[in-house]
Amino acid sequence: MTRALTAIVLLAGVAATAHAQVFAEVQAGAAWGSPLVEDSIVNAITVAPQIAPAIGVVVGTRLGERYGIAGRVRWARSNLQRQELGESVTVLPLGVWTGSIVLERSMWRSVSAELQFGAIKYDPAGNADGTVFQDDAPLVATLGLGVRADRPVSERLTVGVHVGYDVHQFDTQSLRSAGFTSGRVTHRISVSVALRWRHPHASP
Amino acid sequence: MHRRSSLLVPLAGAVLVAACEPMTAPVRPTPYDFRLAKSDSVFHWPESAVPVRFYAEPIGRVPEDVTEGLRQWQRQFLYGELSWTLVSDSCDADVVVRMASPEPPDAEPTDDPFRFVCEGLTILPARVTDEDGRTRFSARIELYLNWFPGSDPTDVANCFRVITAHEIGHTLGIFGHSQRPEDLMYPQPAVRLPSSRDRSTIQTLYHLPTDILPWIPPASAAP
Repeated sequence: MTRALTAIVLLAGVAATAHAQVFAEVQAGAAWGSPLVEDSIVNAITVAPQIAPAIGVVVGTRLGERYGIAGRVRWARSNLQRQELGESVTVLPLGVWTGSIVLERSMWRSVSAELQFGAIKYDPAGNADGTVFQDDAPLVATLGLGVRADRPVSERLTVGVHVGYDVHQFDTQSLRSAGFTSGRVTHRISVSVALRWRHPHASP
Repeated sequence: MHRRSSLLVPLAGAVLVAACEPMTAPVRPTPYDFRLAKSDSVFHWPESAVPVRFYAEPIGRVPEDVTEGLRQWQRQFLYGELSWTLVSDSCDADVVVRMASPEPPDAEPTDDPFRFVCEGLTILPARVTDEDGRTRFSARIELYLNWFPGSDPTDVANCFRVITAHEIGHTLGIFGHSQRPEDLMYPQPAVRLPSSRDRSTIQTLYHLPTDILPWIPPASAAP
């Protein structure tokens, strides 16, 4: 998984360098995720990550006036929580890596929209026995959309706000062994502040 | 440019279609009886009492069998309902596992057919009513293992592995037995691992309110 994420970043980096219209970006914000599992054992049970602090790194290149392509790696970490009868119990700390290719298009002034596709890797911390991650931590495909608004700080530097949405299907071997017959569609929304630096030779 | 941007629309549609797919919850086997006989009370280790502290007497393969039994039971859960730890001092334990007979012969367990050359006994302490009016165990839970002299060492090792896992099921709160021989909690168990019915039973148990609270060691009791 780490190799796949590294490959995405390197590919984007190589592409960016080849065109010499590169940009690099760091993001910091928060990510919310919908429940990974809903079950019923005596009571209704919901298992979902808490709102997580998230950081990201983006390397990309402009493709003409309005388009751009980038590779992005994001990491978020919070506790996975079990909700039952109004009470919340921590199951285990959970990291989530996301590697994606991002296609960007300028829409209006400093606002741009983006389409992203890539993969998510769940990374539970500690002993995962007795949890949905006890047999595996899935690597799953994800598809998403985003919108961002940037404001120039200097000739090469912009600061912006990024709002992203993505969807993937969560499924583990443990859930299958327990009798679940399909994965659960899981939604994530992230909000972050982004600091983008453009290469001196990049197009404006 | 327009052709490129129009690609966004079907892709966004694909995202939304994928987002509408439902998840199917499993159908679980009907649990067998896990309540305490006569009183019909339910006991399980509550969230406030985990990790449950087990002491395994360092004789023969007792620590290994206890560890394996606990791991197998813990793996029947999905949502972090149970955690446990082994402690080196029995005074610090919630559950004490001891060998009641002399040290068993040294042998590694195998996949040979199970032979009944050992036994186990879980002793539940008396129940008392605490200052807050709640029912509570008056002492720690004890589990004793015993083997029959003259038995083949490998048979003894195989037997202890199964019986220890079965008795650990009792210490976790399954106070009844299954009526099906394919379950680990059958009175004379012959399977090594919890079945789907064992799983359903312990999952159900841990999502019910507990009627009995565990014993509080004197050192950690509230003043």
